[in-house]
Amino acid sequence: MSILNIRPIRHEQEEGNMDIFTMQEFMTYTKGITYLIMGGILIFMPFFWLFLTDRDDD
Amino acid sequence: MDKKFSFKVEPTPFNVVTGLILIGGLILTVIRFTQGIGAVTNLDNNNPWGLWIGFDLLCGVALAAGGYVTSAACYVFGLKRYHSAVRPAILTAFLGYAFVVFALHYDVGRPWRLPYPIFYSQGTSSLLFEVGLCVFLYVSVLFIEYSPAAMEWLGMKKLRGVVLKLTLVLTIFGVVLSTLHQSSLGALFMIAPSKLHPLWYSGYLPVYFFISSMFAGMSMVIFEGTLAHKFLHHKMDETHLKEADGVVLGFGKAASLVMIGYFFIKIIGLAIDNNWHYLPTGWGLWYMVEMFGFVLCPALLYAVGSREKNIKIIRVAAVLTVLGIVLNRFNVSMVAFNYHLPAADRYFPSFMEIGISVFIVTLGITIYRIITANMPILYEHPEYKTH
Repeated sequence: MSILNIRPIRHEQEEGNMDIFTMQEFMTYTKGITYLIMGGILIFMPFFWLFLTDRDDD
Repeated sequence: MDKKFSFKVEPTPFNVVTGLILIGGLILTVIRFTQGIGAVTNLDNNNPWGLWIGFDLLCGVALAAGGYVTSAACYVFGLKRYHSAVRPAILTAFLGYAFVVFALHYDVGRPWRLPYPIFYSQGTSSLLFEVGLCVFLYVSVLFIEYSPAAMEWLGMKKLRGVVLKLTLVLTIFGVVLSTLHQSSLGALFMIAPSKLHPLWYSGYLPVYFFISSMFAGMSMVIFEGTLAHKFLHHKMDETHLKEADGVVLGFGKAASLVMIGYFFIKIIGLAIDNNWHYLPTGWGLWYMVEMFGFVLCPALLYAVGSREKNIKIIRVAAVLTVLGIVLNRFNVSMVAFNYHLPAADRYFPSFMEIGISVFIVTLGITIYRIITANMPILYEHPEYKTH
């Protein structure tokens, strides 16, 4: 057992996901996911806007 | 138009129940102010804020947001087709805020000290001071915004003319104040990151509270309009009845867009804090009930309702949204607060706390009925037609 007892924080239980050791890695991971979600929202929103407004009379 | 005050109390089941609740509430009020807060509540050192903050204050302020939303839509964005909805929304907001302040007395006690934080001992580094100052100023603004209706009733033409000239300034001031205190109510909970469950705790809590207040306000205008149509139909004039469907459709569409935006920023909040792993837990399930059942579902119902011009669907969505706002504020202030405590130390309101909250809501509805029965709220005064 290590004296410092430093172990990586696993963000999920599944195998194959990246381990997070530092703040830098945490930010890279969470920001990466956030940017992907925001990309999805940017694609979704115009379609939603069209759905809302395409039957407007005025 | 006569200035006579009229309020007939007929022995209908609704009035009888209202009377019983008011009598019960008065008794509880006497107990609260003579025996102390401990005699009527289940509050303790772990849970100093309970139902009166979670429901009367947080839900009251959020659901009274219809005032700033409607007046901003009409006077700032120039959507005059919503003009008939402004007065009922302003009155609801004014009564909502007035009763928030009234309800706060039950929690804080010593009502004669209410002006202290504003005029005597300002805690300028405290969020509560900011909330208090904003609510104090906003209640004053709402009173002035509402006053033309009372002045028309009383025949004070000159003063009404002066107040009407202030409409735009008051509306802008109201929007600024609402932005500040709606978000600050969320920010209050940022002081307790270890007590609030991570699914509800976020650095973006102020943003969540402010954005959710927008669609809470719009939904409340739709919900209240539905009730007014059912029970106060005879008080409405032709303009009000003609514009009512347009208000429902327009507000439904706006609420849908804002709610979808709110849903997405909540997901972004999950991603930023990397809280995904909480979702497959019991708390996660409850969080998803709130997010899918009371945010996404009404947002889509609003979208379908406004696209299909189906008023019924929009009204169902408004009810779901109002319930969702109550659920969210309950979750943040009570359910997910102190989530780590053992069951024996968790808070559940006493029947007297619930009774006082019901009393305050009933009192608000009664005063709304008295005002709408006398003053030109749901109709335009014939001597002051604007169109």
